[in-house]
Amino acid sequence: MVNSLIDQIVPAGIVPKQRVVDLFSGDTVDERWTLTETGSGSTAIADEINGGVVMTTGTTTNDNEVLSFNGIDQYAYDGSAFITVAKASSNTQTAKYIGLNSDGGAWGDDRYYFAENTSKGSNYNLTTFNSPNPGNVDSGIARDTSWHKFKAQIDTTSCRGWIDDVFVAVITGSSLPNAALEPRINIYTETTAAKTMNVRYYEAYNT
Amino acid sequence: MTDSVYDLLNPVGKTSQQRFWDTFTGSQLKSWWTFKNFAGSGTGAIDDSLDGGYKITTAGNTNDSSGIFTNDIRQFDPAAHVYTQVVKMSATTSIIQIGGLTNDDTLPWNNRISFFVNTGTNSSFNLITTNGGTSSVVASSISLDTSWHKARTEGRASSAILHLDDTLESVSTSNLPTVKCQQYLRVQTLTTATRSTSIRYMEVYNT
Repeated sequence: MVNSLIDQIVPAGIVPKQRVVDLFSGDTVDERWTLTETGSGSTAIADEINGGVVMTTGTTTNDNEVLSFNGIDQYAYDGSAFITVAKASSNTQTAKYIGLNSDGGAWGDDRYYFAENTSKGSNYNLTTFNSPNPGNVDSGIARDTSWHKFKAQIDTTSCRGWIDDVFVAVITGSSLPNAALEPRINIYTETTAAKTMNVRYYEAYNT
Repeated sequence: MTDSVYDLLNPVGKTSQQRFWDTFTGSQLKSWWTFKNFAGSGTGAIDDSLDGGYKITTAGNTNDSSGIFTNDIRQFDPAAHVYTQVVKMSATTSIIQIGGLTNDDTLPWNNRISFFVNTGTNSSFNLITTNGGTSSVVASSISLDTSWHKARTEGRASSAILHLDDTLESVSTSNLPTVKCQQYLRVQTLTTATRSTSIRYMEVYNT
């Protein structure tokens, strides 16, 4: 038995690096997050069992909700990971992106994340970007409206992804990001109907 | 050794359920809490003392009462959760201290599972369950004191239990709540002097 939390996740002799854990519970979204909105959507802690934070878009095509760290980039493009537990209310005409990105509420030139949108087909995708080079690998896991655990980890040579603890994708090459990153949780509607995403866990850490 | 908090707390293959924790330290109470006065103008503040946590103090009239809630954001399942708190009360006379899960953040507290003391009627720490306004109180073997205690209440499909300082003390099978709940802690004075409760750890998760 060890006494500290950090001793259970960082080996002795290794100085712990930056980490964030958010459980999305309580009265309000923690003030560390910055909300960026296009349209008249909403983002709030859900009043439902296991609901986490609920993000709902407006009703104009491309309306979106973004939670970010407002340009505070503490996570390494060449040695970091993120884990999230999320679900979307619809698996059509909904675009959902969760991961690490280089530019606050806007899309940055560098990023890696799990994505789902119409242009990427009917499965979840692992995506990287190093402007102007995109990288994308189909996970083979069909999009649905159930809760899933998504994990991605990046190092100097690859970005790997897991869904529900099953390894699903790896990306190598010129699309791997090359700038410091921050958390990004993002949902778009691709139609004129509101779309909703729930997230009840987000963790990012440098490795 | 795992490298993530997530994998430390959740078995492989199981998607995590809703979780909340607070260690009640820093300059002020986190915004995920809502402080409420039910009678009188009580106060709450992070306590500037070793191991002090957060202290809620009532005003000084009989039945003045204050507490912290999550503003009716209810994410926890009364029939499938574990709630751990480290708390103490300022006196063993003329005080009600209660903390756990409740459906409402207002009187008359119709649905709850909580660690409970009412010195007007009890001489020991208790487990209380309430369904539809009818309560069952099951006493523990631990006499009242003003020391810190680790209290763990668990809600199961057909029972609720209380572990106090890691010993099973109380089991209730009556008046179990069935509606979604929020985390909370409340103190009430039963005399014309202030009473306080302090908390330095709270963790809740659905199982």
